[in-house]
Amino acid sequence: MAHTEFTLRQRVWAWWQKPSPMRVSFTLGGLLTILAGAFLLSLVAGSVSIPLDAVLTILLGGQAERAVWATIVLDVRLPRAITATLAGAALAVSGVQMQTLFRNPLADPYVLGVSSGASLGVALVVLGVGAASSTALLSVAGWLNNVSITLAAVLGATTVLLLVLLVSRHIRSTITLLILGLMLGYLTSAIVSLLIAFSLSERMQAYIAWTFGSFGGVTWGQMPIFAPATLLGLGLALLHTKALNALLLGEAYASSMGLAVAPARRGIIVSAAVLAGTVTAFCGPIGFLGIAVPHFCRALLHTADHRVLLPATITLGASCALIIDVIAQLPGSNTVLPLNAMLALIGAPVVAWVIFQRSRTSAGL
Amino acid sequence: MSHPPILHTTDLSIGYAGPPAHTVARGLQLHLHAGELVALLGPNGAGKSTLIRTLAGMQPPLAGTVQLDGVDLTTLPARERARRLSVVLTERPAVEQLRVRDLVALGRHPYTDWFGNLNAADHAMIEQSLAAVAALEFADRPFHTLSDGERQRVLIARALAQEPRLLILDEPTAFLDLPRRVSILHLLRRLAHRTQRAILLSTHDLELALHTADLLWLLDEDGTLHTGAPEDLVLAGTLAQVFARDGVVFDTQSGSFRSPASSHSTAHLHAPDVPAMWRIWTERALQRGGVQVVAAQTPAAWQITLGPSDIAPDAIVWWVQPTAAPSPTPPPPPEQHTSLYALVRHVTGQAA
Repeated sequence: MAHTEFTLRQRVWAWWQKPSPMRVSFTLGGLLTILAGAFLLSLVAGSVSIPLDAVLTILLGGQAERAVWATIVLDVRLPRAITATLAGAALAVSGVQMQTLFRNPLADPYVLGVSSGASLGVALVVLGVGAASSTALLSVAGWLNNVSITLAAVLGATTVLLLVLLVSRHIRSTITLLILGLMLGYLTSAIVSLLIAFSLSERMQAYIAWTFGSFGGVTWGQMPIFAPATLLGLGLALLHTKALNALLLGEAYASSMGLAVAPARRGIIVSAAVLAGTVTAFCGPIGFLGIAVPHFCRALLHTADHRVLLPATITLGASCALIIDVIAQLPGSNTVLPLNAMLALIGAPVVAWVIFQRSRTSAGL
Repeated sequence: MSHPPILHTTDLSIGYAGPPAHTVARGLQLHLHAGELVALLGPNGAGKSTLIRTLAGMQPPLAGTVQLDGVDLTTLPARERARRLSVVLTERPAVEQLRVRDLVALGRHPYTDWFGNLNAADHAMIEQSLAAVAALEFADRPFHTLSDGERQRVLIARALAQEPRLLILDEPTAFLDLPRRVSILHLLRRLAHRTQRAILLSTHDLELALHTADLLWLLDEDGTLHTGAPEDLVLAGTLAQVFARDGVVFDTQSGSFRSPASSHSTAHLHAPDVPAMWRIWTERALQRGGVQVVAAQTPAAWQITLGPSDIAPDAIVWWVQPTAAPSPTPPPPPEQHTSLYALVRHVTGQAA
């Protein structure tokens, strides 16, 4: 009876390491529960704390103790929570797509300069064409403006992705790709600075505030653009689950397994660009979610199988975005921390951990 | 031939359309039959990879056709091709957090639905492929934690999961140590013979290929392809001729390569009471030291005798002395050595 000598902790660990469909369902169920909890938390917490039962009453159409609570929950916190949910899922999924497509563990929309490309598109429309001053850049622009800004961001994101793809097919080095992303970031900032020099100071302020990142800028009026665009991107990503799996071993193997690589790559790039571009247009360039969440999911589920990984990143990405947004608002206070600063505080160590892991397993970069 | 070949080419020219255009080989008429292990050999730069890539459909032919099961490879839909032909490439895929079983499951790609769901038949084929390469014991481990030899077996299992009629491997032994190389090649031969698949592999391991392959394809630097059983090519002198340019000599006696002989001394070798093996290995050691063993009637510088030791009759020792020279001083008495290392140092003048 040798196994009785193992401690409970060892046995739990062994069970956890052993791959099984049950554990996958268990983990996905857990992630969904966390998502539901995080969603409710983001409705409860904020500068004013609203009790959970009051929130649920308001959501179900009832009357809360105070009339102002209904306004806060329905007009401020609910759209914000939906935005964070969709944006977190979108960024995490586009991170998975880019990591698989470029076979690069450090790829994500922000690192590869895709967010920069999207920002440039936004800057061209906002600083060039013009929008009124507001911290929430898109909130005062008309419906048509919203569409054009979104399109500009998606186009900017697509351009950068195609550029990166072109380079990555000739140069297989991770470092080169990362440096390229960095340079594209600098280039974008330079062009944006030039645009700023020729634009009104209030627009400039609006643009800079936008670069801090926020899930609070999407109003109910903009939701009919933001939500369908991200859902479309997510749907397109899920349609390419099998292609992403085939691409895990590289394009040559994928092709040998019968995958039509060129259309698959196109579809994945369009989907990643729509996801990253839309989120950037509405929430600003948001870092680290795209890189950190996929790594969390792989480590949690011990799998790179996209049939599991995509649902997991969608739920975990949404949860992370919601929770970090709640923390950034410093519940109970009137101070709001810049979202990107919060994400970097949590995300940077994750990226460092990934690099250490890789150098330890001798996979190298 | 009673069965049609799985793969055959007609007037195949391979190379790059450019610019600059570059034809590696032309007019190739090749056949691959079920149950055969074929090794593609040739000096570096002769175009082995180009031929492999063309036959695998990863690169279009410059002229002529490649037919798989009688269908032109370029007109075969990708999914159909993937069900008949699978590959193991030279590049080593770096994937993290992918279990061996999941990696092998990727090979089911041409059989699964749009989402990649695996049914019972898929799972059965995955287990069968893992078993065929003896990878079941580490099937639950992440791929990146495996050794090079284990990884190669897993990649072969992935290719087998595609249920191919033809399996093409580009330098499957490149990163492996000798025992691993031997076991991979033997595994492939077993697979070819037992499962009646055609297996084509390119390799630098000529000596290993000579022992394991049913057929050699020998690609010369000028684009000529010689085919035949390894022994045919040895006897015809083709092997020696193709590799002659690399500054090494193919010894048709031993079936191995050696540096061109530069003997500067000669010896008579007497080994009356010892097994033949002792004589052969003694000759080899002397040859490496630059001492040629000659027949008794030819004059030689050294006289070497092999025999049981006086002290311990179980052990075999070497006595060496210079042959009698026409000089007034008598030759020194024979000296006894207990190892070939000492003997070679003695006759090459390094012992003093």
